[in-house]
Amino acid sequence: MRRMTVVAMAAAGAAVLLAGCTPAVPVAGVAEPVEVTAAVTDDQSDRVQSQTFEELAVADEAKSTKTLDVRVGGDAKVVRGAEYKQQSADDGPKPDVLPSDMQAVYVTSAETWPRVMVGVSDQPSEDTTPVVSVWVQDDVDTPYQFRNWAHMVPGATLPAMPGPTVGADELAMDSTIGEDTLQSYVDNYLELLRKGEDDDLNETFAEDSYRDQLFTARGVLTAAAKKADGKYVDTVEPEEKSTYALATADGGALIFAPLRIDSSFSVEDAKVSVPAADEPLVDGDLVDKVTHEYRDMVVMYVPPADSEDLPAVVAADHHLVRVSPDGAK
Amino acid sequence: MEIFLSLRTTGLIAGVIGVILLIVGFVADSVRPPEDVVAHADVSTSVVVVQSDFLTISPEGTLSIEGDGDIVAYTARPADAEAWLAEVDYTEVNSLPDWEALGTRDVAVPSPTPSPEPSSSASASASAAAEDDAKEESPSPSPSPEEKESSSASPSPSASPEPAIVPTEADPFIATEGRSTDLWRNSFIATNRLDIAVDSVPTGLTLVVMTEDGSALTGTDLSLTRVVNDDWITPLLWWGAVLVVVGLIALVVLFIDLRPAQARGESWMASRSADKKGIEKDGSRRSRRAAGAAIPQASLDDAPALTADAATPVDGAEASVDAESSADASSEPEVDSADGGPQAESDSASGDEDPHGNADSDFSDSVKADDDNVNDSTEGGPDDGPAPDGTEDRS
Repeated sequence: MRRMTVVAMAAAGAAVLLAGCTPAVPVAGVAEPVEVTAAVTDDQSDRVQSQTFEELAVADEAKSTKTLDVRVGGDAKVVRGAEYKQQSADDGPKPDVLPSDMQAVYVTSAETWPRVMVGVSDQPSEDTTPVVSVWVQDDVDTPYQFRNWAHMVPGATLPAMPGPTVGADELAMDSTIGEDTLQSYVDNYLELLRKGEDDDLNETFAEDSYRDQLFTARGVLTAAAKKADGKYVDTVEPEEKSTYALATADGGALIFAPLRIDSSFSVEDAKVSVPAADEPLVDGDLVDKVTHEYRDMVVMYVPPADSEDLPAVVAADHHLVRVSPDGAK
Repeated sequence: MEIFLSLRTTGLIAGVIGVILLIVGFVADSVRPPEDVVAHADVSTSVVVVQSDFLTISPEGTLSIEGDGDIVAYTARPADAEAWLAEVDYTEVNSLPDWEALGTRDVAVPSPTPSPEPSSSASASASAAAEDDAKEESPSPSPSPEEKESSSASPSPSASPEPAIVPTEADPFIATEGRSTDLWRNSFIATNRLDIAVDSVPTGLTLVVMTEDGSALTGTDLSLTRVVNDDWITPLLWWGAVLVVVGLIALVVLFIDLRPAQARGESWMASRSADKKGIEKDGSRRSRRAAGAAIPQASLDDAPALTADAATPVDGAEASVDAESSADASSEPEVDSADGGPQAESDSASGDEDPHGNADSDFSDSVKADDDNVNDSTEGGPDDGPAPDGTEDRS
């Protein structure tokens, strides 16, 4: 009996000792923060880019946009389709070369949608400037989609951007730099495009070849219409829902603004015609009026408030997508 | 005898303590909890979510998810994962209530939405069944197993609404159910059981695990390392063993007749105690001191004899006597002086050579011998005082 008592006491003592020596169940701590705070890592952006250019390569091969489904959409798909049509004409121009090699990729740090990713390609050739490509992810369930591209304006320089590890802040268009909102910079530039180079707004933006070409074409077409007792009218409209802005490293902003430009040319007692390369884009029978529809892309750099530099368009393209007798559908 | 008994008793007590320590040690060793623990939870949804904070519980552990068919795990930023999870029912592994169980939380889509799970049937036959359903325009969303068997045996290639693309290790980022995979950063893929080393999940990212075909996962495990502070058990066993051995020795001694040894020990102890009681041996220093023979008796009356024998000048003898006088003046008992000082050896040496107390001749010899010393010491002048050497030699 005594032995049993001793054993029992020893067991109890050992249990008590062990209970005191056994650590408590661990509880969750606070994990280290994410190393790459950008919305996408290099691997993710590489995956998006490679799938995009694979999809484009297939479409280019087929000269059809039917396969442009997952990674290519929006204006890019429309513009590419127009290029395929133009290419089908005799001696039609080849589609824009879109290099898959990027010299820089700008990603956002946003945790909301839509999100934007921008790639700046290598220079495709000596005669062509690098291409600025824009991918957009509308929501968490949709993939990043290649939506727009524009060649850099000759002589322009893209501003420094936050690195791919951190990502750039995605700015709302109503956010301000200085006293003006980002949307007002876009609106002023479109107003300048509408009014022409004689407007006071011309002095508020750095020179760029995009608007020079637009003004030159307007002058030529206006004169031609007048000569034929006709009329030339163009309209410039923003696509505000598809306009995005990223904060630059210096506190400025880089705005990606798609535009819709319609130019209507009409004559009296005559019939209009279009160049052979544009004929595949004609939708309908042209008589005395023709409307060219463009899907343009403008990339504008807005410097920080304390900078003496003027806002400048650093990349822009003028893409004809449709020719119709009666204007935009 | 008493000491011996107390040693034996102490040994026996140590043995008892050793037995107790051994018992405690063995019991503790047997009930010691294992260091490697696996906490488990059953799940019934097709998606399991583990937040990065929870993974800090076992940074070197392994998270396992079980299910039927291909299982894919992705990582994503918490905000992205949260947005993606807004449209699916899922189970979140979020706590560790005890060492063997994982705490989970089932989260359902708040509003009724189309289920992302096309069927709870096995993946191999599900697509074929769907194809068959499409061909036959059957409204049944979940055909019977027999139907699936038959349809899988003869699938209709022309009736397939969607190609059966599934994530693979080569390309795990295949959109399933029409949902983008652009938010996923890392991927892990396996069949039936997916083991993910926790340290392979980048910090701060949420882990989302799902089956490729939308079927329900069955369970999840997390391996843990439990650090038990049991370093004391082994030393306890060793100490117990040592004490038990001591106790055994004491026990053996208990049964051995030690009386002869005890008798010798007692006589030895008695002789020791006799010394302590003042029974000196003949010729011992103590006995000589008790007899007082070895105590030198220096007096001024002996000085002429000393002078006559001495080959040294009288001044030296006088200096010696003065020194002796001076030593006497210190009122130190002569015996104590002889015993206590470093010169006691010269005393005993003279005593040993002549134990019957021919102290004078020895004294003369020593003084003769020491006269040189005295001279030497007096060369510096009498004012040098009674140097200890000179004083003792003369005494």
